[in-house]
Parts: sequence; C-alpha cells; structure tokens
Amino acid sequence: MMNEKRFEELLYIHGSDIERWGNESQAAQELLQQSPAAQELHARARAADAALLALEVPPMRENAQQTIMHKIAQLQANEVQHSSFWFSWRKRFVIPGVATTLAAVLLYVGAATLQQPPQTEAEYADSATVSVAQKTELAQLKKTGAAILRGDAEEDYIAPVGSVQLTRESDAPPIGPITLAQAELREAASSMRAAPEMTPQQKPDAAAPAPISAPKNLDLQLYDMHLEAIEEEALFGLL
Amino acid sequence: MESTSQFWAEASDEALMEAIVKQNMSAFQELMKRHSGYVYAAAWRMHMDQDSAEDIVQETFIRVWKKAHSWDVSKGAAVSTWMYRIAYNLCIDHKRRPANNMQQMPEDMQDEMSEQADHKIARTELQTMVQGLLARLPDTQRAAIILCHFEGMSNAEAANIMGKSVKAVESLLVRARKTLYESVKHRPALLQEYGL
Repeated sequence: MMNEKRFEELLYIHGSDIERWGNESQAAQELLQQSPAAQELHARARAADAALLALEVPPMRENAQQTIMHKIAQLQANEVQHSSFWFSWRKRFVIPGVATTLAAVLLYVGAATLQQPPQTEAEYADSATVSVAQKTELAQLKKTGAAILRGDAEEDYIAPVGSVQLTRESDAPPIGPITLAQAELREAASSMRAAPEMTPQQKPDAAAPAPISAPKNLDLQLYDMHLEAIEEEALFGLL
Repeated sequence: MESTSQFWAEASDEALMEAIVKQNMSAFQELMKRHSGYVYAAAWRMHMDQDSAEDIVQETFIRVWKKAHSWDVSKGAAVSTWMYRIAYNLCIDHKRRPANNMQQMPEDMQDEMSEQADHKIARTELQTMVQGLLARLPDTQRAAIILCHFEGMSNAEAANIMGKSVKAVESLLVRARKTLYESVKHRPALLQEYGL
C-alpha cells in the first residue's frame, strides 16, 4: 500500500484528480479510504483545484478575431504592394538606366578603339587610315635609309620624285614631312658623295651598331624624327 | 466561399499550416477559429487582463502567419503545442513590461482583496480571491499550473512548451500546488464553496 508521503508527493505533482496518477492511482484510492490525513489533504487539494477551475475567463471580444484578420490582410497587402512597387520602380528606372549606361559605355569603347592610331609598324601597314601612297613612300624611305648605310651609289636607291605609281588620284602623295625628308635624304647623299674618302681608321667599325630598325611608333611626326636619325647616322658613319 | 470554409473546417491542423505557408487566408482563419479561444484563456490566466490577453492572441497569430514556414511537422510537435509555445514566450515577455494587471498590485492590496473575499461570499469576490492566489505565483509556476491544470496537458507536453525538462516542470508544479493548497487551508470560504 502507498504511504502518506508518497500520496502527498503525487498529489502535488498530478493534482487532486487521482485518475491521472497513472499506475499508482489504485494504491492511492486504497490509502484515501483508510487514512484521515490523506483525506484531509485531498479535500483541500480538491477545493483549491475546483476554485481554480471555476475561475471564469471573460470571453474574448468579438472584434478581436476580426482585428487579427484585418492585420493579416494588411500584412499580405503590404507584401504584395511592396513587391509590385519594387517591380514597377525597377521597370521604370533601373532597367532603362542600366541599359542606357551600358549602351553609352559600348559606344565610348567602340569609338575609342576606332580612333586609336596604329601603334606598331605592322599595324601601320595594315591600317586603313594610312593611304597607299604613304605606305609606298614609307617602304621607299626604309630602302633608302638602308642603302645609305650600306654606302650604295645614289642612283641605286634614290628614286626620282614622282616615280611612285599611284593607284588612284586620291592617293596622291601629300606634300608633308615625308616628302620633305626624302628630299633632304637626297641632298645628304649628294654631299656624302662629295666628301673625301675615309681612312681605314676613320671607317666605321664592323661591329658598329646595327642599322636602326623601323620605328615602333609610326606616327608621321615621329617618323620624321626617325628619318633625321637615319640621316645623322649615315653622315657620321661615312665621315 | 462557404464550400471553401467547409473544406478547411474538415482539414487537419497540419494541412492548415501547409496552406498558411502558402499565404492562404481561409486556412489561417480556420486555424484561428480553432485555437484562439485556448490561447486567449491561457493568456488571460497568465495576465488576468483582457486587453493584455487579446494583445497576446493577436501577436501569437501574427507570428503564426509570419513564421508558418518554421513549423516543421517532421519535428513531431503538434501545431497546438507550437502555438502554445509562441504564446507562452509572449506571455513571459509581456509580463516583463510594466502593465496595470493584478501582478503589479502591491502584495498587501492583494491580501486585502483576498481577506475581503473571505468575509463576503460573493461569486465575483471568490473569483478575485482565486485570481489573487494565482497572481502570487511566480510566472513559471503559474504557467505550469495553467498548462497542466487548466489546459489539461501532461507534464511532458507542458515541459515541451516551456522548454524545460519534465522533472523541472514537476518541481514547479509541486511548489505551485503546495502554495495554492496551503492558501486554501486559510480560506474557509473556499473550502465551503468548493470543498466537501
């Protein structure tokens, strides 16, 4: 049989409803019939539990549920409104803005690429912006420079002015730095021929620096400077 | 519309929750219809104040709506247990805020009310007396009594909601009931009304 201590313990854990005491409820019922102390304790517990259960809860106001539904509807509407607002905002401003910026960047890059002058000799030769006459003249100048350095006869390398065959009238050689430089070269070559012959000591060393190669930057002005360099090299080498 | 509400009325709590995750208002309305009464009663017993209890119900269901995706049937918790847990946490948080409910009354005032009730056996005064008894319990003890005694939950279920071990909840229940049963001993009016 259950003792009173255990009865009291279970009473506090499970309350006065002995049916809820699990497998110890039978033993508790037996004790309750025999022990006045257990009966008194149980009566007090029942009164307290009954009083608690009698505690009336005022009903929830009718509009409470409606308020909740209203708030939930608002939440849902806000979510939809927020997302649709963002979508329309994005549609109106972000997408056109990004597209315009992208187009502007592409235009700028494209224009910059087209306007960029040829950087190397190969690029210069291939460049569509350089006329056929200029290319021909460039080749002629390179040959002339090399011939001067070799010490060839003037007739071998000086082409008469205007001997360049032009393919089109629009390709007429420009009267500019290149033409003038060619004339200067001719003059320089003539003066070299008139100069006295050099002694072996005066002759340029075989291991002298190699002829100046074609310039990398073939901008017309730079090329003009390059021609001057070739001329000086030739003069100093021969003198 | 009527057929929709009829459909949801026959659905399980789990099915309702799955629909609520997909923002179904009808399912939410049905869930609220089923559980708001219990949540409200528990909140009222914790606070003894209608406004606070309604606030807690409102906040509980708004959280259910917002956090429906976090309820996972695979974790084994019933929807009602999950909702009680939300409500319990809100009740504890709400208790920390200053409010004009009975718990915030000075203790001597509560005693006075209880003593007055002993002399005048009127229904409302008995109610006030019981409220006074409950209000004197610490929050966790009161929550344990509310869940196990009023809501008829097992100690294990209460432990799950309160986030405590079963032993801890039993310890809370023992202390709470000792206080309540001892209080009844000094209030013959209660014994007369509810005792043998």
